[in-house]
Amino acid sequence: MRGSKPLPEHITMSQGSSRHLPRTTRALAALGGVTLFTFQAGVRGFTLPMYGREFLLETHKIGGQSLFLVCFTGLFTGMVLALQLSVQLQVFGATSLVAPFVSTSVVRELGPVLTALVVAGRAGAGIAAELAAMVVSEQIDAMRLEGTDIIQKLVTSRLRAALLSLPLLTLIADAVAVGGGLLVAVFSLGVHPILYTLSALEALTLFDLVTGLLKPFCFGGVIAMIGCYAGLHTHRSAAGVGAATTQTVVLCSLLIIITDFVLTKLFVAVGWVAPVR
Amino acid sequence: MIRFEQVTIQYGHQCILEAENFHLQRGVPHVILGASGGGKTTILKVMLGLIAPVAGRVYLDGVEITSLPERALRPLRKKFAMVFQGGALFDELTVGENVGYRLLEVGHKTPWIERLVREKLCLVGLEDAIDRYPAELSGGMTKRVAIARALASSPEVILFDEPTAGLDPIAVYNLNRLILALPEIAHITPLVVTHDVPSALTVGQSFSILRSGTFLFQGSRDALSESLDENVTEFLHPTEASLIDWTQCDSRSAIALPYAETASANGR
Repeated sequence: MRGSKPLPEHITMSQGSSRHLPRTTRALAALGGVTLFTFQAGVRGFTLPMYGREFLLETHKIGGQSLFLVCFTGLFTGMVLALQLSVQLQVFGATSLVAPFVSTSVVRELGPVLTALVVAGRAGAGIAAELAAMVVSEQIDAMRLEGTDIIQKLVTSRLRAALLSLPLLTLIADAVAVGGGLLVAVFSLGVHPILYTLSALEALTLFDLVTGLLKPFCFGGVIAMIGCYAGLHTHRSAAGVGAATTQTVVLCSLLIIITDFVLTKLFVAVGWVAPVR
Repeated sequence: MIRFEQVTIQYGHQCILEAENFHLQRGVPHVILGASGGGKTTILKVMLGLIAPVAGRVYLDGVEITSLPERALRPLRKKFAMVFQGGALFDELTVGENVGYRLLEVGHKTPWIERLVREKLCLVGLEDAIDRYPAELSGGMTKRVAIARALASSPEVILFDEPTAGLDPIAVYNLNRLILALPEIAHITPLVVTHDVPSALTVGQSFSILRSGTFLFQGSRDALSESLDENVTEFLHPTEASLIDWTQCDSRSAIALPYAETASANGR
């Protein structure tokens, strides 16, 4: 429980209520909490035990179970993007540029961001709900009593799984989106599929691929940490579980967009973003 | 084994526990009696360092744990186990994996662990449920698996949080027998928190009575039976004075009215 004395390091927020604190104080406390939490989970990433079973299970939940949604989103994003571009580029008679624009937009921005948003809504909320339910049913307390390091077992394994899954899902989403663009280009604009594929690939640079994979890697960290933090710091009630999932989706969505901007700014500053050829 | 001094627990600005001193002696089954919402579960969690008090000191096996970090608490907690009120079984593990959890965390599944798990499940009459998942168990079975899990870690003390709540009379009888036998057969000291007075008097040798976050009484069985404190006797033997007077409620509830009166009021 939380009182007038500062909360000791080993006490989770789930045992205390911060509802009596002003909103700004709560927000700052949460920010500090997430930062410390991320640090602790990161440090434990290099220590034993590795909890391989949990890692595989979470990789399946975060990556495997999000695959269909990610592909579906990627396919339609690619098709819509190609349609929009075709309308604009036809004015200038430059429909051959549809492929490079689709591939660069998808690989640099749309693929990572949309994949992350979809995974945040599906897997991030799932992480928060699962951990919050464990808090409410006292499973977390039971684990602590059994000598388990909660952060190592529950958080680090999810962090690892998200860090691996997001870049892989993004690669798949990118490929599917470019494929969606190909469908529109071939059937609506009459572009030859090989020509489309070659110009789509030719437009991409190594930096595009690197930045396009670094972003989802960071987004994976955001989703895992926010989901775990909200879940483990929930209030002990059914309403608390609902609040944890809502907070996770809202915060993840906001942070993904903010992180995307910060990373893009950084990549532009270091010259990793080149004009589309 | 477990001791605390002047412990205060707050929830927000509200003080929910203000216990002066408490001492659990090795080998003496102790029962903390108290009404619902009196801070009984909180006290158990404070004792094991799951909740930190805002004031006071808690000693676990002679070590002050109040300000210890989680990793320093882990080795100290090895001598203790707790049976949570709702069981707190791990959903993704089978009954057998739940019971052998502590052992499986430190090593691989071995025939020895499996034998031990079966033995503990046999003690609670659930050997056949070894491969089932918690979702497939009833509330009573869940609680019995939780007891088997606590026994499997070979602790010196087991803390029981409302062990008889939700159990049928035969299960209560068997559970009380098991708790009574623990000090003798397994050298385990039980600490039970409950509001079930008959069960408490069956298993306890020393008692504490908790009311609104403070201890009203602490002492032996004899001292309890001889206590003249009104609050203690009121808790053990509720009288007319402790009943809620329904007629004083604004909305005259049907519960308070005899059936015939309710029926006539409804025109039946």
